[in-house]
Amino acid sequence: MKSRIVILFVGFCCLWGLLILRAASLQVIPHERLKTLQERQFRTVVTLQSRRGAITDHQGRELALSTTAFSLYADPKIIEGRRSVARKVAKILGHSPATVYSKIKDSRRRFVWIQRMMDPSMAEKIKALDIRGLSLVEEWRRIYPNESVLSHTLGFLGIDGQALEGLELQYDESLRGNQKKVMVRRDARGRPLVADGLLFQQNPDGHDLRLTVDSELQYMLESELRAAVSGFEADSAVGIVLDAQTSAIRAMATVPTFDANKAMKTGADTRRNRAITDLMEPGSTMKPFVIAGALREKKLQPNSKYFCENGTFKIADRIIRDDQHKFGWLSVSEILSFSSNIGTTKIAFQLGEESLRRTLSDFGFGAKLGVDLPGEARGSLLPLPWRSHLLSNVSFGQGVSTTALQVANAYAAAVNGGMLNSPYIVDAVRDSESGLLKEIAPKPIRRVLTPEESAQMRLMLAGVAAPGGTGVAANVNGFIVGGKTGTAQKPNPKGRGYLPGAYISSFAGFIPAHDPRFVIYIAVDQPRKAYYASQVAAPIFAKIASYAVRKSGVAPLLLSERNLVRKKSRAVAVAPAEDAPDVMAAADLLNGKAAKEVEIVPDLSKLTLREVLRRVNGKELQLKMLGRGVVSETIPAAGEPVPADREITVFLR
Amino acid sequence: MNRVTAQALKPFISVMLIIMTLFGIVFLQMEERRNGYALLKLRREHKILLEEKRTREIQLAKITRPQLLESMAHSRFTLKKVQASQIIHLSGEGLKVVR
Repeated sequence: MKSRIVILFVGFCCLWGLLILRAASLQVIPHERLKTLQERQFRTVVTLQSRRGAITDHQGRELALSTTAFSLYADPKIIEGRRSVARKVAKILGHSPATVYSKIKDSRRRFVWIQRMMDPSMAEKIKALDIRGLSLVEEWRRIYPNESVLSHTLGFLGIDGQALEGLELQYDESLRGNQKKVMVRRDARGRPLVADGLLFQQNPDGHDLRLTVDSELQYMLESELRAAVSGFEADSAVGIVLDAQTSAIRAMATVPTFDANKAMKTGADTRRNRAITDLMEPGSTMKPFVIAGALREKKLQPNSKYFCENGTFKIADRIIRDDQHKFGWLSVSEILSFSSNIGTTKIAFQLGEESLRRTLSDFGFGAKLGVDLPGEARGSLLPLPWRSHLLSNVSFGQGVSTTALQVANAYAAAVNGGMLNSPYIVDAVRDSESGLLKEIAPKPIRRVLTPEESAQMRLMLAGVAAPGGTGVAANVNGFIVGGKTGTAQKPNPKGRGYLPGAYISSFAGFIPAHDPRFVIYIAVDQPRKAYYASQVAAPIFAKIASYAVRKSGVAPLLLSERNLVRKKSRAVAVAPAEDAPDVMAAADLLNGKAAKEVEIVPDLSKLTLREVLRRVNGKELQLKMLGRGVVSETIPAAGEPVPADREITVFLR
Repeated sequence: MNRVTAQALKPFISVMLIIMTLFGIVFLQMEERRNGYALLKLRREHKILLEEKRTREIQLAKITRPQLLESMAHSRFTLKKVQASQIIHLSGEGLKVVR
């Protein structure tokens, strides 16, 4: 009996020993196959998606940002009761059951998208259905909250999140960040386990971009261009607002616009950023550069005179004319003001083809400017030698093609003191990991004019918007503006010559003329109701320029007696005759020595607040407004002398 | 407790210590796991809240878009775009208006 027990005990011991040895061999001795098997069972790959960086305007208003969305896909082979599943899913998605059923009816298919980019709330409802064969995948959806504002410049993404156009494409590497895959352990239910904080490691988002653009100015520009396209029955319009000193793009618009959220539903022709991709003949807006070239070559002065042949000038076998005018002798300033083709041609001949081409090339024509947007066109500047009629044509903007941005940027160089800068639209890039903002500095290319020559250009161009000039409609009340009109014929795309009756009306200008802050270029393509730039483009410039300067707080400069004549001298002039001295020397008048200042309270009765402000404009008074409505009385009353503290209480009722 | 009894208890105490240590390790590991799950849950909630914040930001950006503001100004408040003639230039050096 005892021996049996011993044998059984030994047997059990052996069996246990074998088990322990086997366990030890599995646990202790390295085994590749088992290790792989174990890793497959207890490890999982977690993909850390990085959010695409946001794009904001200069004031921090969001122009493009990303949010989470879910896409629903199905494995039709394992779905049971497809018709009922289609009904349930369609109800949530807002589709017809037939549409959903058509996607999942083929049981041989293993993968089909049911719906892309759903809202999280919708995804929750789908998840709650708990249907085998339906799965959700988390994705990022790009949203452009301002819809059509700046859409041509921002660009857009494809359905799979790939950058397709605009800034999205140009800065794709910065914006998209990196997608990281991390191996983590998981439990029996597949939940990832926390190990050394690995799971909490956030993948850095893509960098944010801050643009130089002011979205309100951008909207204003788009609205005005849209109104012009509709009002003049034009094909399209382009507008650019540049910072005159740095060539930072403050606004850039192409009309017609499109909603960037539905970009794929818009034709490629509408999505093109015409301001940088489309070439056109600049027309008379090219004339200032001919004069700038002659100025820097010391060939002329602003008051140099040229005979404009009474409106007809023969060059080789061709005749050039000044539209509807027969000019005789004109100064260079007048040639610009009246936009004389003959005068500009004569200056071009004086300058010579080589110098003119070099000047235009220096101003950035015929080469890419290096703007940080994709698809910039180079433009064309024909190689030398030029025939005489080509030299003449180039002088008034024919036979040369440019982009709208090139023209605007060249004007900026001409009036900002003579420095040509590379235009740019991204003002700063914010590193999402460190939060550091890397500001992008202006990029000067070359000096094209001396500050003195640039000042002369400003003065001459200001004359264009003066009474009698072609650009008088570009005037902005309270500011001096400068610029140049351009009414260019459209070249025939199918052959030689120009399209009859087809024009591009443009105006390139700057404001304020004495210290330019903004350079604005407006071009309206093929307006049908009127085509002269003075009627089409110049008024748009005036509206945009007025908005831009007021929004940026540029103080108006009023050219009036109040500004130009000293206050005390004015007082003498307005004083009643009996108070004024009988004889007064000019010096005394200027110094106001003998003048007795008598200033009376103006009659403001029954005026609105707006009218009161207009009436007291220029007077150094302190108005205390009480109430609302129209003025009922003032203290002191009208006609009484203004008190020493110059305070007048105005009662409105 | 005499010396003999203490001597006899020593193995028992050792075994107890080993068992307690093992239990302690298991307990700590369970706590770690439990905290891990709690953190995971909090992280998900945090993510949801962040997303909600982002959604609100998008909604704010959408309702303050200039097109909408302009149409609201026109339709609800009967406002009109300013005309050039309505702009008043205040150029007096000492002009001051108090309301």
